[in-house]
Amino acid sequence: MAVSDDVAHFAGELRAAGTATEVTTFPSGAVMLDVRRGDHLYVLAYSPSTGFGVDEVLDGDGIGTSYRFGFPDFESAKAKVLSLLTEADGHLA
Amino acid sequence: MVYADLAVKAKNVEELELAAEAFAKAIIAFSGSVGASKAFKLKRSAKALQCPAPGEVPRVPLTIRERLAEYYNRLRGQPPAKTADEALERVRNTLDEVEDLHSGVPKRNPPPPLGQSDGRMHPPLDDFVTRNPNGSITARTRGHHIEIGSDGSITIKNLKTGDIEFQQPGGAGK
Repeated sequence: MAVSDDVAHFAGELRAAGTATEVTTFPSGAVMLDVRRGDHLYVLAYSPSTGFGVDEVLDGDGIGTSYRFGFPDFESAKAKVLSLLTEADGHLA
Repeated sequence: MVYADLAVKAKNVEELELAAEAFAKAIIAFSGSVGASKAFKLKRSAKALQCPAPGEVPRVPLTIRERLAEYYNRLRGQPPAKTADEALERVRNTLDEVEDLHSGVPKRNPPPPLGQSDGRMHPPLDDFVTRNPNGSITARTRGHHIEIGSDGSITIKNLKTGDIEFQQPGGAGK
């Protein structure tokens, strides 16, 4: 399965659970998944040349292309997004 | 001498840097006549304005917020781009200029891998750029969406807040 399909499928799962998502694909094969939960915005980025990155976007963030968490595979990146969402849910509760 | 006038009238980056350097020297000279605390703050501002020598990192880096403000100021200070490619090049080069001067972190090419942050702002990577059939270009960074019109217009949106942080009309046809 192509990475874009993996990401689209993951986005669908999140939407089904009531989380807003947006998937953007690029001609290079790169994919960006935006995940919004409450006031939080998380991103999962994939680039064919650099792999997967996951991070939360904060209010004061500058313009950047780096992510706190990097992964070589989709499943690890997906797990990180889910753990960040769980963490956010803990803060929201 | 009105240093702001020098900065506004600067025709290129070199002239702007000279204006900043002159302003910095004036601040340092003035700081000798005020209290120690105020003098420290003035000197800190002055050092931030001074241009490091090639290969040297600034001694007092600005914060991300200050650098972002400086970035938008520099973009705003340039005449509108006339093509989308010119605008994209400007978006990238101007950010690199600001970060070279004020981040305290030397540029790495390629930038750090996705899972590493060096504290420096980096312009959009080619992988995350889309050239549209109508001549416009869209680019994405971690938290910003950059929309560049075929006429050279530039719009930078903060995806967390939804705010349009920078907007400049294009110069094509003017």
